[in-house]
Amino acid sequence: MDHSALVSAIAAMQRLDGVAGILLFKGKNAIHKQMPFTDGRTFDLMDTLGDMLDGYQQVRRRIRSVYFQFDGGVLLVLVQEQAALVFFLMNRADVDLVAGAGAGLLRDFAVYLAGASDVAQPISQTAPEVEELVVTRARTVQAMADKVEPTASNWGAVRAVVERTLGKVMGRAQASNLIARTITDSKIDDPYRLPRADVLKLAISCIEHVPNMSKRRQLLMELEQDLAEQKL
Amino acid sequence: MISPQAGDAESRFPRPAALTVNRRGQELPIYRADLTAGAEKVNGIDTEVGQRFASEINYVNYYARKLADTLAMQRLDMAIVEDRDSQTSFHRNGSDVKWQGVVASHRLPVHEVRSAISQH
Repeated sequence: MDHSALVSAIAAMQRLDGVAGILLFKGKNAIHKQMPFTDGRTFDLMDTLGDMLDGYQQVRRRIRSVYFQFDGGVLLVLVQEQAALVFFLMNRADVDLVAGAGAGLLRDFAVYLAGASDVAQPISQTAPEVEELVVTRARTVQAMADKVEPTASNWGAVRAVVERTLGKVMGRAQASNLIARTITDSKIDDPYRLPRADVLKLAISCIEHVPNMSKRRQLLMELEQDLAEQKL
Repeated sequence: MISPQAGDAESRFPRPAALTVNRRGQELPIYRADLTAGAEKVNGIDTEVGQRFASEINYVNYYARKLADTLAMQRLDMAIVEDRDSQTSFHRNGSDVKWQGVVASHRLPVHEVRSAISQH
């Protein structure tokens, strides 16, 4: 059982009805996170839950699960040793079913999780969403402009269409993660440098990750129409 | 500094017969907690467990408020804490300080907890 098997198992649980997000952490290490909000918010959530579980540990209570039903959704935390599997659920989710599946996952990956680090991983391991560019001198700007390679790709506009299309069947964060995963799986370094034909192939392969066949077919048709309308 | 109720199964968390849920239909004792005044038990008499019940609500509520901020939600409606010795469940009873719930000696499914609490 390795990390990729763990990610696959978690992805399968994400498809359970009413599951809006999943976070698996051990100590300060976010082993896997797929929550429908920013990383900052996810880490805040992890810290708060970590503090709460530490409190229980200090009084020698071995917590198995904590269930929070808020006015707008449910947070289910399953605990095994130092690892915690957190589900963010919609009200329609079958909590007992999700809890059973989550407990099974924690058992299956107990050895892997026991060996996982509980130290926060360096930020450099996660891909930065925004690149900061500091310009100090006008000459530098000119020098950079001279070196810039031509980027003929229309990936930016196509990506927006793909996100909108995927957004009909999943959350924005999930759609964004799916696109990122597809780019990685396709071993594409920079989609902005792809030729137009390959950009379209990439867009289609993103949609092809939608598990439901009829939805997938419908989304592919809509993608084609939208791209044609926008002359992309 | 807020801390959870301590929980050593044998010495610090007594489990009298009244708290044991009988799968044959024996009713769970319902606790009502007013966080400004402590806890009371509706069925039977068990002050210590009642106090622990109120303490658990306090602790969970403290973190639930932080979590609600993070999740952009307004309030906690219900919570269940399960450890290896017991399961404490409670839900809001009209205000932030009034809660009611049950303490079971083993794990109950969420739908059973909901129905057990809502019967009262």
